[in-house]
Parts: sequence; C-alpha cells; structure tokens
Amino acid sequence: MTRLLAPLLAVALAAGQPAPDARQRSFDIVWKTIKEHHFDPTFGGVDWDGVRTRYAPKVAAATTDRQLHQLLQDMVGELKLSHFGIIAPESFLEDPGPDPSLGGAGIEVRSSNGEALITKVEPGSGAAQAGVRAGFILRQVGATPVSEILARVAKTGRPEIRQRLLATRILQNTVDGPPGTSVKLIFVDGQGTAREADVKRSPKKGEMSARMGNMPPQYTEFESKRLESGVGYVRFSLFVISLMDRVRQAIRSMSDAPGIIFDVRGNPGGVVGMTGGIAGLIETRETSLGSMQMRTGHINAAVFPQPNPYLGPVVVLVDAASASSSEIFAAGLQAIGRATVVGERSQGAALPSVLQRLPTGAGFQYAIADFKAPNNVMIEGQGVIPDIEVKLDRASLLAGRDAQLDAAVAHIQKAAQKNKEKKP
Amino acid sequence: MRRRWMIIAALPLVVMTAIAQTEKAPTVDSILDAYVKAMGGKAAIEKATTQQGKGTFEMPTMGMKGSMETITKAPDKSLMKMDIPGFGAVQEGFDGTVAWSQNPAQGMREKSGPELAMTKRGAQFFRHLRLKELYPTIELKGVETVDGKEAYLLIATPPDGGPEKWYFDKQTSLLIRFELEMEGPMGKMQIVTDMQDYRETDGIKAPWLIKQQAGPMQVSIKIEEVKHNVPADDALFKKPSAP
Repeated sequence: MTRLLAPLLAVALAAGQPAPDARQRSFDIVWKTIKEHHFDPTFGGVDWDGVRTRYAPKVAAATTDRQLHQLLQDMVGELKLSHFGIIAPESFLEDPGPDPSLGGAGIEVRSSNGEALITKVEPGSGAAQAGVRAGFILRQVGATPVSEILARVAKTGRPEIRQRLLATRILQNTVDGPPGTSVKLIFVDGQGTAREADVKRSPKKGEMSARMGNMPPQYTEFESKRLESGVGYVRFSLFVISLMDRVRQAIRSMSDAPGIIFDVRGNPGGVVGMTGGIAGLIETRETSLGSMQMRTGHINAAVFPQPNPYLGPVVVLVDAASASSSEIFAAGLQAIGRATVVGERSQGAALPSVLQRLPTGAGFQYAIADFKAPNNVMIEGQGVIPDIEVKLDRASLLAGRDAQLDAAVAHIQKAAQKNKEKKP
Repeated sequence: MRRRWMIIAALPLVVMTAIAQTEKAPTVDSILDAYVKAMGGKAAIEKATTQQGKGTFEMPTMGMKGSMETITKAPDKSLMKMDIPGFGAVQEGFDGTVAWSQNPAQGMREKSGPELAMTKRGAQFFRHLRLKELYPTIELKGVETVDGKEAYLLIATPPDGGPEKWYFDKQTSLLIRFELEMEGPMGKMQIVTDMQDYRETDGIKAPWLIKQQAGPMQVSIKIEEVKHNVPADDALFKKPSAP
C-alpha cells in the first residue's frame, strides 16, 4: 500500500474575520515555507532572515487581513520571481455559482506598443454588431481611458513584458462583464477615426473548469478546427484537465492533417502534467519537456508516447501573454525538435508552483522548483524565443488576417512539402 | 506455593535477561523476525491471498482530498486507484510482469528499469516474509529517534535499486518509517514515508495512517477498511488500453 503513493507526488478553509493569531500564523507559514523549501537556497541573494526581521513588526501592527495580505505580497515580491503571490480569500468561495464575468463584449484585446490593440472580434457578438473590427485601437472602456490603465500599470515598475501581460488582463477584465449589460467603447478605426459604440455583452462561449484542490474554477475556452489549408488548429485558453479529453480527440481527428498548430497565445498556464500529456500524443519517444529542479531532487515534465501519435509537422503559437505551462510546452517541444515555435517572445514566468491556503483564508502561491528546458535553457525571466518571430501587426489584422497564424500555416506547408519530397 | 514464588521471583530475571539480550545484540535477523512476529506472524500472513484497503487521501498543501483503494494479490499483483476531484482517476497496477500507470493528464505508460524493479518488489504479497531475499544486503546501522521513538535503522539494498532506510520501532518492532530515493522518467526525489496507527485485521497488522513527504509536497492517507481474501480476478491487474 505504501509504495503506491508515488504518482501523487509526480502530481483549510477559513471565513469571517480571523483573529490576529491567524494573521501571525499566516505570516509564519509564508516565511517558513520559503525558508525551508525555496528551490534556491541562496534566495537569489535576498537575505531571507533579514526579510523576516523587517516584516515581523509590520505584520504585528496589521489590523486587517487586507493589510496583512498586502504585506505578505510585498514580502514574497522581494524574491522578484514569478509564481509567488497571495490570492484574496474571495477567490476561494466553495460554490462560486455562475461567474459574473462569463460575459463579454466579444473582443480580445492586447497591450501592444503602448496601446490596446483589438486582436479578435467574435462574429455575431455585440462588438461585431457595433462595427468593431480586429486591428482597431481601444481608447476608452466605460469611463476609464486606456491611457489611465497603462499609466497605472507602468507605475508598478515591473519588467516591460510583465507590464504588458498585466495591462492585457486589466483591459480584458474591464471590457468583460455580466451578460446583458452594456459597455461604452471608444476606439480608433482603420481610417484613424475615433468612434464610440455602446456594446452589449453576451454570454461567453467557454466554460468554467472544475475546482482542483486549491486551484479555483477558471474560465476556459477550447477551439479546434481545420483551416482552409487542411492544417489542424487547436487552441485552449488554459492547461486544465477538463480540456484534456477534447485536446486528445482533436489531435486524433487530425491524423491526416498536413500539420497541427497549437495556439497558446494568451494562455497563462495551468497543470504542468498536461504539457507532457499532449506531447505524448505527437511524439514517439519517451522523453521530457524539461526539468523542474527543487532544493533536493527534480521532477520531469515527462512525455510518455501514446498509441498512434500524430507525426506530422507541429507549430506552437506563442505571444507575450503565453506563460508558465504554455512556455514549458513550447520550449520543451522546441528543444526536443518536435515543434517550431512561431510568434512573439513569451512571458518568461515558468516556475512550477503550488497553491496553499493560509489560516486567514487567503491563498499562498509559491514556486517549488526552477524550470529548465531539455537544452538547459532557463525560461524564467527569459521567455521562449520563437524560431520564427512574427509580431501581430495592425495592418494584417485590419485586413482580416492573423500574421502569426499565417506564418505558422506557411511553415507547415513548407515542412509538409519537404516531407513529401523525401518520400520515394 | 513455593513453586509459585519461585516463578514470580524468576520473572524479573527472565524479563531482564530478555531485554538485556535484545539490547545487547540485536541483529538484522532478530529485527526482521520480530517485525514479522509483530505484523501477526508468518502463519497469519500466509493465510491471506489478497488484501484490499479503502480510505481517503489528502494533500494539505494543495488542498486536494479524495478517495483511494488498493488491492494486492499473491504472489505479486497490485492495483491502486485514486479519485482526485477536478483531476480524475489515477491508477497504477502490476500484473506480475507489466507495471503500468495511468492518469488523465499523461495518459497510459509502462514502467521500465529501476522503476519497474521497485514496483515489482513493492507488489510482492509476502514481502514481509521475503525481505532478505528481496534485499540481499541489509545492514544494521544503529538506533535513531523517529518522532520521539527509538528505532533500529537498517539500510537495505536491493540488487537493482538504491539503498533504502528502514526504521523499526524498538518497542513494537513495527516499521514506522522508510526513506528511499525514487528515480525514473518522472524525476528523482527523496521520499520519506511514516507509518502510524497500526491495526489488526484477521490477525495481520497494517498501518492505517500513512504520511509521505517529498520535498515541499505532502500526502496523508487514512485507511478506513481492510479486508483479506476478497476475490480478485487476475484481469483486474492488467494494463487497460490507452484512451
């Protein structure tokens, strides 16, 4: 019986107003967990004992949980690494019910070159009906000017690529809202004219994932189709187990496709084990997408070949909002020579982490390991460098094209042609 | 009456001699023999041909809880199923030849090399009786303290794997901790397993609380039911087809 626990390793609830004791215990847990388990015993040069000395009096003086959580956020922020953070207790409601944000105006927006670029407009959505098109520049959402959001993000002092991700998320959250409500959008169209539209929000097409331990339900989208060229296209907005069956079925249905494109642009990550699981459907070798180095020992993003894998050319599309498991997936497949990465440099936030509940009810996310791709390349702070770098350009979007997707298709067609020529 | 007093008078001497003998020269053999006896004895152990355990598991740092079930069958078959809410069913099995593992993220895989050897050793139904055979090198390293209890430390090395540390409680003779390094395609990790709350079912003891630690990750298993000699068809342990 005792020997059978290993697979779990490959793999507290509080409400109301906790007492100050709960705040002190939360502080102790956060500090001690990092002290004892941080994968880098030097803490990246940060004097972690000194951090305790500095923060302990502030924690003792905190009179609300909110104050404590901000202090803890600042404390883990001293490590200057991704995947260390404090998540508000409200995110852990046991039965969140229908998510009010499961509605949207039907646009996807990205922070790009200091502007908010609309990269996608859902056909038939409120935005489409109001004449909004991909390639337009968003200037204002409701009463909030985009410039104000971008300025607020700039003040955080984060690296530019992290600012872009944060700005993208804030912009998207501001645009989205409960179905049936409306939002005023001010944007600049293809002719450079400023326009205004009252856009009705409608239900989003995706769904909420299942809660997995401390990982709360999250909005997910999945899309698979054949492009005009016959190339397979699979997009998923998050690495969550509830999507794994659909990913598997999509790949199986594309066995005759000249190539498959996995679109993880905007995908912030999720369950690391799923990266190797998908790779096992397109790979014949038992291998690994990289190694997660802990203080002692390491865990591999292992790939186990599944029956009848897809063997044609594969492209992974990434952008600055691709993070964590998306980066492990792209970097790993790139390093083992199984996929070509197309798009823009990714976020560089690829530390495997766990989410622990604190006595105050907040979540404490902390990285348990550093990640290196099979070619020993570190992804944290660097990002995945595409083999074919293509930026999303406004002109293509205005022409109804996705330059990154076009480049991916062109690459697959070229590779498929080469493969055909090789065969006698 | 005189005889009775003699017996009573002799008792402390016998007990003291026994303790003195045990403390004076414990050997690998005496520790392993005492362990088998503490587990219920060879005869009781050999009466069982299958063992089924049902319980729950918890990974406190990740907020995960779920149900689990194990079934083992003589001579060397094993199956473990776990149901993890939000993740799905995880299964591991060994049919006497093929060791396999399946989970919703990574699909199906077959184990090989040291990982297969470790699974095979673990699946031996009468492993308590065959420890010296399964681990040709076993050394007594002394006495250490485990959770406040004095325990004999044995280092056991199988022919096809790394050394394992076994800690046997000096008082109960039961195995209360083992440590080993797992290495395979999933990575390399030091695992410490604590076994507590031993209870007897059909004359055989088993730990009903098992805690495992690997780096920052913890798993705690609570057994709620143990049954022996439940019917278990060999087909149960065979590798299922991949999804």
